[in-house]
Amino acid sequence: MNLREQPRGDYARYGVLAGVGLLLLSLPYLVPTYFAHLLILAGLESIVVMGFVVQLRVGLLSFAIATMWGIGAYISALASTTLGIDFWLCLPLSAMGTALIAFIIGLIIIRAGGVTFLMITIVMAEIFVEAVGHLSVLGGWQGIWGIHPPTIGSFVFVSKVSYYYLTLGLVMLCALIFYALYRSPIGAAWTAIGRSSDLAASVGINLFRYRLAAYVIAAFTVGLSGSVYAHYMCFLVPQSFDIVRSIYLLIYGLVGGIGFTIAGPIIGSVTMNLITEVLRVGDKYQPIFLGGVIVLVALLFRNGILGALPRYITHGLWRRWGRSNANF
Amino acid sequence: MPIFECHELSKDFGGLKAVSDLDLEINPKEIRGIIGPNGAGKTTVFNLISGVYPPSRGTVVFKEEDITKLPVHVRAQRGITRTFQVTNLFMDSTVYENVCVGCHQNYKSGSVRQFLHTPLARAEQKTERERALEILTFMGLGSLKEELARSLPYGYQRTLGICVALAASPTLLLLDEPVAGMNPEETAVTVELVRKIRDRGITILIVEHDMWAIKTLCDKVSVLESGRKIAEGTPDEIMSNRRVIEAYLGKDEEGGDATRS
Repeated sequence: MNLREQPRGDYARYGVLAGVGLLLLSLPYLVPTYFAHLLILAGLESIVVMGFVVQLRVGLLSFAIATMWGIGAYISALASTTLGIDFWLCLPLSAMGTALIAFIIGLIIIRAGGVTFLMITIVMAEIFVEAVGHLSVLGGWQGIWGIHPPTIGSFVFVSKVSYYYLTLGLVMLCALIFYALYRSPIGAAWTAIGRSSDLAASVGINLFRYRLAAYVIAAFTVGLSGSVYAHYMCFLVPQSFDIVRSIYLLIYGLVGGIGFTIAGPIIGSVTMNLITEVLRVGDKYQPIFLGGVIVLVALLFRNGILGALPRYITHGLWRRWGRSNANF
Repeated sequence: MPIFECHELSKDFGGLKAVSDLDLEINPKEIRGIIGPNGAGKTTVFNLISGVYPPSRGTVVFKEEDITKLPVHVRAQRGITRTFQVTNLFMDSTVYENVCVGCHQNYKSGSVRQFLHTPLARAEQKTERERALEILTFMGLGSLKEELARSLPYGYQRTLGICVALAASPTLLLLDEPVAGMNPEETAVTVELVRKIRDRGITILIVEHDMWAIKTLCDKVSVLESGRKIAEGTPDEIMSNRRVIEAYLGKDEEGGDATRS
């Protein structure tokens, strides 16, 4: 991205970045423990939303993104409880396992494309919950208990603060992965496919391959997040990964700004987690509240919170090429 | 030796024979026109050549290789790229970014190198970006590179479409009605550009309604009617061909000359 415009804006941006970095590092000591919990959840969810956004980028609207998350979480949970595998092995294992499953499923469903893809993901979301619920090997409706916490030497991850830093590191890792991808010709091809698949194909871009790559990479990062989620929560029930969760995550993406592939999911997840908490929206009213949020975003902020910010803040920092609203 | 051939190329949509038994041979560096009344199957021929539809029968040969079964992107990689009849651009991207995407298939480094931004991948990206700029300058859009494609006037959007197709380094460029909807000045400019593209050694196949453009540009013209080729020859031969005149203007019942030219 060229940075020739507004050098002063650049310095300001580096300043802001440094400030944000310091804030992120000191945050768990500044806020009540419960907020640290929210931030951990928001961080893990933001990775899932990044996966959702990259799939959307290549024209795959998925309602099974929480399902992928669940797959990652369950792989890690099972590996930890039944096989007694250490967290640090579970983490790559569930990322690769989720990616492998996504690869196999993707081979079949990505060619279907468009509305068919969307419908299949809805079915997948339902099947996952029902299948896990009915299989006692996977814990059934009672869920899986007693997932071992991660350890480093004699240090055991128990406190919110420790998980906060773990999550922060993971979010940074995933952001870095996606940043490298979006910045490369791969990301340009993804965006091209989402904007006009006919034209992209006509200049030699293999639609299927790039879509599959986006799908599998999303699964990989979502699997990482799922693994940490499982160990953080210590127990899992299938209902946590139902289609409603996917829709919530989708809304987080919209709120952050769907055109912002990395910052959008982070800002969206954090904001929505904090807002629902601060406003004390109960579980009962959450769907109504989120419905209202969708209407608000659709009417006033077509590119989310980040899209509403002035351009000199957002230009070139996070968003790959394209300036106006992403086509959603 | 023709660079492109198709033999008995046919496409049926249900009972409708959109294209039947089309034979075409195009020589390197030729500008070939395809004309015909509306519904003659010109765009279908385009879609068959670029690989959007598989043909019902027949073969497509490009550089002595049978490409009948290859999908769109592989044909593009072999060197056949196209423009679209309805303007098709990455509207929310800038002019420059549009052309950069066109360069995509010129990258030789693999995805892993691209992901890791190795020096090789970066150097390649730099060359491709320069090439994109060169194409934009060549096509007269250099000064508009930072504009959004959406914000360009119609004529420039059409030109940008050609730039994108050109960025993919084609040897055969398919232009689907490149001057449709343009005023005479824009048409003249585009015609000149197409000629310059040919001078770079690119073979061009062009579907067009604008007879002036066809006449000025094409070395040879093939005429389609109801999916069949009814005539082929130089523009002058075609325009005096009786069957062509009948196809466009209808048969004169009294047997007189249907044209007044």
